[in-house]
Amino acid sequence: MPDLVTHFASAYLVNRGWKIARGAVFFYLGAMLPDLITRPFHILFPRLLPATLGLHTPFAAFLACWLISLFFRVDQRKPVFWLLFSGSLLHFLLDAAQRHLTGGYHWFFPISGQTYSWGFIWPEDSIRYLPFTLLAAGLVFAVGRWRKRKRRFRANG
Amino acid sequence: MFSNRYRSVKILGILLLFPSLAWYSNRENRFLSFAECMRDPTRYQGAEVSNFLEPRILDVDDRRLLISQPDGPLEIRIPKGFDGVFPEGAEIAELKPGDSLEAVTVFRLPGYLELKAIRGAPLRRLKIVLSILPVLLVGFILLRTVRWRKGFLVILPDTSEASDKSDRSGNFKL
Repeated sequence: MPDLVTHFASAYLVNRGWKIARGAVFFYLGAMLPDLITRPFHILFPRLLPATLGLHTPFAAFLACWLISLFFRVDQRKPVFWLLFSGSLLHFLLDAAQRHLTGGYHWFFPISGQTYSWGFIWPEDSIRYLPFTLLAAGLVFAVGRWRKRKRRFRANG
Repeated sequence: MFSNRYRSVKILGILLLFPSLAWYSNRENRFLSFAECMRDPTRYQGAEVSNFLEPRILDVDDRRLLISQPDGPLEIRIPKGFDGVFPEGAEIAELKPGDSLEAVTVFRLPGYLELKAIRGAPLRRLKIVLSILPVLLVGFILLRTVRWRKGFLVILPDTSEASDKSDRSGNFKL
């Protein structure tokens, strides 16, 4: 997995580019969700690794997003679910770019145990690229702020 | 799918599905371990042992690698002229005690592991520590934007910049 800062920054850039609807925080949460429901367990308890592999999958993410959305008021469930799930899909897209010596991700679990990845970068490379990722996100944030201030200035005459 | 009908049944069903998935995943991903190989060495001669549990380098030299495992330290022998260090071009000398790693080994008789490929991951710990920051940030934003009302979570309307049309239909402030 790339680190969660990279996942978060990528979700932020996608959000700014596509102007995702209100509640973008759920898109950010979704972009971290697959790791949040698996990594703490197998980092703290390494023996749980085989059990968590099946939970770092689109199917498990779908269930987790559905579960979270069911706690919301009925009119807010659908948008919350789709924001979370699209964030999770972005997470898997970034993970798919990784290369591993051993294992990989079970994209079609529980139907298939096959692992697939494109193998462009090693898992820790995201840390090396992090300054550039943050710079891109920071630039987009700053330009957004500047444009908003300009708009407000014009509106106030 | 999103209605209130059978809501508690749906919640309970999903909550039960998670341990079931974890159990199934555990059953399907049974990794061959060194201990298992030692139980029947002739059967596993030449078998690949590659899934180690959060391994860290305890000690390393030209001939052997000592890694940490939940059952205790595990020794892996490094064959002469070994060139299976990744990323391509890296060398065994670059591996340091304390680093995380990925390794592919082969079980050999009478009972030892021989290194086939290895990749040091010295930045893994930093990656884990840094990953806590966005979780805290998103948690903070969620606490500001979501409330528990009448048995449900509710997203509060963003009224902080009501004069700004793009914000009213746009994002929570980030």
